[in-house]
Parts: sequence; structure tokens; C-alpha cells
Amino acid sequence: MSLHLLGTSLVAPMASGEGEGFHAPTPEEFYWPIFGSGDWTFTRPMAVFGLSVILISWALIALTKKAAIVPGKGQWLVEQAYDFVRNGLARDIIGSKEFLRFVPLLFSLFVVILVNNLFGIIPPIQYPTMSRIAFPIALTLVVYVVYHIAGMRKKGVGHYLTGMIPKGLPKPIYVLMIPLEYAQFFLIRPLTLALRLFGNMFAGHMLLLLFVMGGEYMLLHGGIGLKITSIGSFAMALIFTAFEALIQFLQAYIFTLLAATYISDAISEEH
Amino acid sequence: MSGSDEEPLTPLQRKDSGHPGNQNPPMWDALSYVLAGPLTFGIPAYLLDRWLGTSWIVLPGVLIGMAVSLYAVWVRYGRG
Repeated sequence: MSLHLLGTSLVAPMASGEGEGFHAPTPEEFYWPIFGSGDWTFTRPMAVFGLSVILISWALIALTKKAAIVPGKGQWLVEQAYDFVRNGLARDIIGSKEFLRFVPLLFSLFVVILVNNLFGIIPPIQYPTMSRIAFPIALTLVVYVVYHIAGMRKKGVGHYLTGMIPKGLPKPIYVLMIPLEYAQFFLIRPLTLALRLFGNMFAGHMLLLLFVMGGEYMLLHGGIGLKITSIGSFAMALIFTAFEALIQFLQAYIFTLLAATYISDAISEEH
Repeated sequence: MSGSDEEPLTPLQRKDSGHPGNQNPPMWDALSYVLAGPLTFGIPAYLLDRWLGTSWIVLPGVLIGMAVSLYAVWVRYGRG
């Protein structure tokens, strides 16, 4: 609701200044109520997220139900994704002693974020769920609770807290390093983890919206010169859609990578 | 999987045992260190300014924060 108002207040001065001209996309474009009102509105990202969960569950169950030693195409795909997270991320970063119990979490995070990101460019859906800040915050909270609890259970609270500070530095520097390291572990890491995913998805979707809406405006409302240049705008939209696909994969990877790193940091013995 | 009482290791697990974790955080995490310094020292400095009614503390606060950030990045990533 408040974001909705923020969006209108942002667009109001621009609209009055330009009169009947082109309206650039605003954060308002991301607010899509379906039914309900106020704090209990059911919105499009909720529907998309629900759809992603149903789709992922169905795909994972259906494709691995008849697991064969020589895998079919679907099973091969699932195995590749699982292998990528299990061996490429979890085992390499956390280490083979303790990584197995974190693999389900990391694999779920990776698949949920990847599918929701890719929804940003898949035609009938075209909405990256993670461009609404609440979704990255929720995922980050899960990671935050897991790595702190894993660290405290492994080392005990006191040892866990002292283990965060790097050892062997000159004494006076600890006056500055101790507040920095605690801020880093308890505030900045979750903050950047959520904001990085949110910002990338938000900005990418905004960019695509701008190219498509700009192209449409030039094509429908412009003179002959603008109609021709609108081709460029649509071409840019296509190019950036491909570019977005890359970023969407990369961000799912980075989120999972950092989650694994934080867990590894929390449970590793020395620094 | 079954067939024995004490669940023997699979070949993969046996091969795995002894694979160490990666001790150095990846470069993607350096960003949070770079942000951590100015925020940790800049925000208290700003609040101190508000409290005392001055306006000069926030600048050294942010600068010291930046310096500590760079030092922390060096400690984590640069020492090998």
C-alpha cells in the first residue's frame, strides 16, 4: 500500500511536467494486486511464487520418480542441477565432512531463486518475484538463522562469537576491527545478500520495461522517424532479455554460493 | 543402500572424506566488507553529530570506516 503511494508520488511530477508525453516506468509497475485490499492484498508476485513452488515440486517428483541408471533427458537435467549445487557449491565450500546436511537447503534455495528469476523473462509470466524486496528478505532470514544456529551449535555461543575475529593482528587494530567484524556478520552480510538479489532483479526488469514501453510509445504515437527508431528500442529489449537470462542465473548462483560461504564461515574451525 | 547393520560408506563418500572446506570467502563477499566500514563507523559518527549539534564528526567517521574496510579486505583476501 505505502509502496503504491510512493510510486504515484514519484510519477506525479514527471507526468505533470511532460503533459501527454511518454511515461517512464516507475516502481508502481511492480504493484499488481489481484484481489483483497490493504495489507492483505493477494498480489501477482505471490501468485508467481506459488506457481513456481508447484512447478518445481511437480518437476522434481515427476522427473526423478522412475530414476534409472541410464538417465533420461529430464532426470539428467535434475541430476545436473543437483550435482552442481551438491558438489560444485556445497562440498567445495563447506567441506566434505559436514556439507551433506546443508545440501537440501542450498539446493532448494538455488532452484527456487533460479526459477523465480527466470520467470522474469518467460513470456506468459514475465515477473521476477525477487524484484519485490520481501521475497529476498524472507530467503535471507532463513539463511541468517541457519548459519548462526549452525555455528553456535558447533562451537558454543562464546567460542562462536570470538571465532569471528581474525587472529594475529596488531593489538591496537582490534579496537576498530571488532565492531567492524560484528557489524559484518550480523548486519551487513544479510543486508547485502538480500539487496544484491533484489537490486539485480528490480533493475533488470525496469530496464526491459523501459525498452519495451519506449519502443511501443515511439511506434504508436511517434512520427515516421520515431517509428523507425522504435526498432532499435525493441532490439535492445531482445538483447537485454538474453543478458537478463545470464544475470538471473548468476544471481541464483551467487545467492547460493554466499549462503554456503556463510555456513562454512560459521562452522569452520579457524580463520 | 540397506543390507548391513552399520551403513557402510558409499564409494562416493569414501572418496569425499578429507575434502577440506574453502577457507577464504569468495570475492563476491568483499562488497559487504567495503560497505561494512563506512556504515559501522559513519552511522554512530552521524548520530554523535546530531547529539552534540556539530557537523564535523561524520566525515572522519566515514573515512576511518573506509580505511578499516580496506584493511579488513586485505586481512581476509590479501594475506593468502
